[in-house]
Order: sequence, then C-alpha cells, then structure tokens
Amino acid sequence: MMRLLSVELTRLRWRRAIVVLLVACIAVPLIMLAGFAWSTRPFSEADIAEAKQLAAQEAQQPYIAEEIARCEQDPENYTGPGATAADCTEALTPTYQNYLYRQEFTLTSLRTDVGAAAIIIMTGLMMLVGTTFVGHDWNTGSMSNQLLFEPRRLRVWWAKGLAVMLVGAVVGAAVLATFWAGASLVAASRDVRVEPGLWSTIVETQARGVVAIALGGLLGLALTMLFRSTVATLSLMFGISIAGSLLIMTVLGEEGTRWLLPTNFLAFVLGGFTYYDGSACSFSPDGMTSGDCERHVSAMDGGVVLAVIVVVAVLLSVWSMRRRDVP
Amino acid sequence: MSDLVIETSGLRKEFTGRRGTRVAVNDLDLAVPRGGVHGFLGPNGSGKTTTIRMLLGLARPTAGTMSLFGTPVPQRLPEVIGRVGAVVESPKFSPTFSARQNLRLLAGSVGVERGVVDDALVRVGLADRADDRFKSYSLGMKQRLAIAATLLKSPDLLILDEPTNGLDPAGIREIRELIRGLGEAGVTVLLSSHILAEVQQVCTSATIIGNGRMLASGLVEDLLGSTSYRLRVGDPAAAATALERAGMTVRTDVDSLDVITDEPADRITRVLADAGLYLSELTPVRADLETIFLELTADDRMGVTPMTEEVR
Repeated sequence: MMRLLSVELTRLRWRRAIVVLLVACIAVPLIMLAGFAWSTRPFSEADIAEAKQLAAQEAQQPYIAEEIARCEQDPENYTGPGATAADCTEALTPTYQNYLYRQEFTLTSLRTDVGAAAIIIMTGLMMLVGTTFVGHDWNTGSMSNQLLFEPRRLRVWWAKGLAVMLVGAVVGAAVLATFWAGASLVAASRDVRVEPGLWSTIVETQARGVVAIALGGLLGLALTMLFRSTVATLSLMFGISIAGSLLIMTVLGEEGTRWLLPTNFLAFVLGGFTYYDGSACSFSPDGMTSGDCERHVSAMDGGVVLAVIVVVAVLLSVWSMRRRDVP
Repeated sequence: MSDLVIETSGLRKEFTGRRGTRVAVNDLDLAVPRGGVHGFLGPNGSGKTTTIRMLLGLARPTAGTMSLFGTPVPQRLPEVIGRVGAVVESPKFSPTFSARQNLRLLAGSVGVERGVVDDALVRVGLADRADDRFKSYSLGMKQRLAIAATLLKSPDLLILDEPTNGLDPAGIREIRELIRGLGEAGVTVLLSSHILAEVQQVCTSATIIGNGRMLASGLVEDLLGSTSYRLRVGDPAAAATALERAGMTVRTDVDSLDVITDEPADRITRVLADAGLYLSELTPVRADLETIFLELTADDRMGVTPMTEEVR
C-alpha cells in the first residue's frame, strides 16, 4: 500500500494542473491576508494630512454654514436634548476623522471572515484537485493500464484517496499556519489586543479547517471515481450549489438554511454558526417580535451533515470501483 | 501443474442497456497452451477484447470460469498478474507525461527498479524519445510504448490486443519480430488480431471466434487442414474419375483439376499413371488461414446473423 501511495503522490506531483491548483491553494489565502492587513492598516501622517485638508475644504462649503445657522435656531432638534447653539458648530463642522474610516484589524474578525473564506476556498480548490487527479485517469483510459499492474481495485482507490487527503492536509496545515503566523505578526506590529482564549479557538478552527480541506479533496476524488468524468463531477457540484440550495429553500423556506452546505460547513469550521430564521421569532401580545429570531448549528451538527455527505459519496464510489467494468 | 496458461470454461459476458441485453461472449471455452504464440482471431466485435478484458480483471464475467497459469481469476488475479503483461485495445497512458514518466509510475506500482524502465525503452526503440510527452508520439510509438510497459514485469504470458493497429509496414514488421522473439524466448503470447496474415506468420496455434463463440481452435497447421493440389492433364474427365475412385475429392476447373487430399503427391501421380494418364503440371495449393477464417465467420461478416445475440 505504501508503494502505491508513493506512486500516487508522484503522479500528483507530476500533474501540471494539480501543481497550478496547489499553488492557488497556497497563494489565495496569503493574498487574502495581505489584502485584509492592507485594508485595515493604520493611518499614516499623509492620510491624516489629506483628511484634514478634505475636512477643511468641506467646512468652507456654503451649505455647512447654512446648516449650522438652521441648527442654531433649534439646537435640540438637530443635536438632541439639552443641546445649545454652541454645540451646532462642533456637531456640523466636518472633522478629519470623518474621512478616516477603515475596518479594524482584529483576530476575531479575521477568524470568522477572511480566515473562514480562506478555508472555504482551499476546500473548493482541493475538491478540484481530487476531481482533476482521477478524472484525468478516466479520461485518458490510463486507469485500466494501472489496474493491469495492480488489479486490487480498492487498493488503487484508497491509494489515490490517501494521496489527495495527505496533500490536502499538509498543504492546508502549512498554509493556515503561515496565514496565522502572518496574522499574529500583523497584530503584534499594531498592538492589537488578543482576547483570552482566542488563540486556542483559532487553533481549533484551523484544525477543523485542515480536516475539511483534506476531506474536500477526498469528496472530489470519490465523486469523480463514481462518475468517471471530471465534467460530471463539476456539473454535480455546480448543480448542488445552485439548484440544490434553491430547492431546499423553496421546499423548507427559511428553515431550509439549516440544511444548506455553507451553513453546515461554517458551523463545523467555526465551531458553531448562527443564522437568521424568521420562523424562530416569538411574538409578544402587542405583535412585536421578542427573542432574536436566530438559530444555532453546533460544530458537531454541522460536522455530522458533512460527514454523512462524504461517507455516502465514498461508499458509493468504492462500490462502483469494485463492481463496474473498467473501460 | 496445468499445461494451459489460459483456460476459460463456459465464459459468458452480457451487457445490459436500454435496448435489452447484448451477449458479447457466449459459452467460450478457450485453452491456450504454455509456450509459443497463440492467435486469437475473430472479426471486429466478435468478443476478443471483451474476453481479454475479463481475463485481466477489467470486466466481470456474467458466467463461467477462467484461470491463468491454473489460478482462478479474477478471484486470485493479484497472485498471477505479475506474470502477465498486456496491451488492451489502444495504448492508454497519461498524454502529458513522458514515456519514461508513464513507465516509472507503472513500474513503481509493482516495485520494479528504474533500470528496468530504461531497458524496456531501449528494447522497443524508444530510448531517444523517452523524455518526450506521450501525446507527441505517433501511433506506432504509442504501440511500442505499450509493449514496453508489458515488458516491465518480465512476463511469462503476454496478451496483445491488436498490437499492430495503425502501424506502418516497418512498424508491423518490428512488432512481429518482437513477438516472435518473445515466443521463442519462452514467453507465451496471446495475440488477438483480425489480421489473418499476422496470425499465420507469427502464431503456432490459434483460436477463431465469432459471435462470442469459439468456432475453431488448434495448431495453425491443423486448422489449415488438408493440402489441395492443382493439376493439369490431357483428359481431365478421365483423371477426375480415376482420382475419385481412389477416394480423393476432385473439383473440376476450366482446364485444370483441384484435388483435395491428405495423401502425398506421389500417390496422385501413381493413380493417374495406373490409369494411363500423365501429368503436365502438379502444384500443391495450401489452404491459407484467410480461407478458413472466411468460411468460419461467413455469417458474421455477411450479416446473416447479428454480431451479437439479442436477449430481451
């Protein structure tokens, strides 16, 4: 088995399309981190000087003076109870801070936004890796040639599956570790406060992310071994992501959100996911909503849904490999 | 230990589709003895490739049993696959890998050393182009690479399915020499082909199938059967009568006679001399495999019966 695994790892390494996908797997999350770090960068002296200039120009606009004059006639209506005419100038004159808005860099938002998106993208790319890896074998007919040397089909299946999972896990772990090492450097350079326990949450998220990435590769491979066609697998994935979601939401309404793939994926990776569900709202006697109209999916619940999908695909694929004739 | 390298009994393969069930191989009893080159002849669609695919574990038989080297397959195929090299239909390799890369992957899966890959490439004359991509190869080069792949395992049995398809005359000759050499070196070769000259030139024994059934099998010499003689004589009618009286089968042509007999030529001359008739010409005419093949597979080719039996 180790010999076959080694052969499949070599085959993966030699496939140009897979190398391109793996490069994308490495580059995209790091580019996303760089983008996030750039868009949250602290303001420079030049930024502040430019903002001050813009604020000064804005303050010279006639409508500002007119607005202040109107405010001074009825300050409380403009700036709130207890306001005086003196408050109007301060409240209505543009300040340079108005021109300096950027999202704050926090590790919490990085984990739930960019970090989660990176894991989703890497999982999708690994699915493509798994798909194109064995799709090529079926499309070229080289699968039958391989079986002439190793006729134990399940061994061949698992050698390919393990190779894809191994590559997914190693690349996923390395990229996510690099991602968060970079994030911690950015946080340290900006004196960002790290909440207690956040790093352990991040580590757990990344560990589940690595599992998701590796299993994404396995799922792509299993589906392609089942359909024996890259196009069929990609069509199914596209169909499920679009038509499947529409069908679920049409049949189940807002409650269908629970069964959507992204909901369960995010629940598993982030350690739980909360979503809006109108049917969860409760109403007070005066007709106002009470409660938060939200539902929560735990990591375990999301993981079970994902595991069922992967296990069913693998079982069908293995059965097909064992039973069907090889072209 | 069985002296048969390949043996099938009651082998049957059905394909089920929307139009019903199609029988590709029907109750086939195939026996390939150890050593030599065995031809596996049949028209296109007669079930040759399906039979080979079943023997190699690529397709599951609907019924029947098969064995390679006396070992039942596909149940115990892994035990004997290391002794079998095979090319099934067209060469199938990864088009973006070089010949060397393709062979290295196959060799790696059975633990064969890299040196063997290089040797195989040299043996089929691809050493100079070994690092070119497979997709840049001509059909002949692809066929040669497929044969190189079969040599990686130093096989005792080589199964070649139409190995000269698409080759130019020089390529065909090279492959035939290679096959003949392997046969002489003790490798049993099953050569599937619809090219009769190929089988007749290279094979020591042959099996002819049609409609998925075995039509004839045995040594090529035996399949060719009786020799006939074409003779010219002054009085063909009298000669025909004398020869028929001696138990020979005679067909009369315009100015000659065709005599079909197992008797040696001197027996013919003696019979005619005893009848006072003297030959002006006596030519042995050996039936060729093409004649046998065309007679046996006439139904297939003429469409009298369908290529495959329909079962609904």
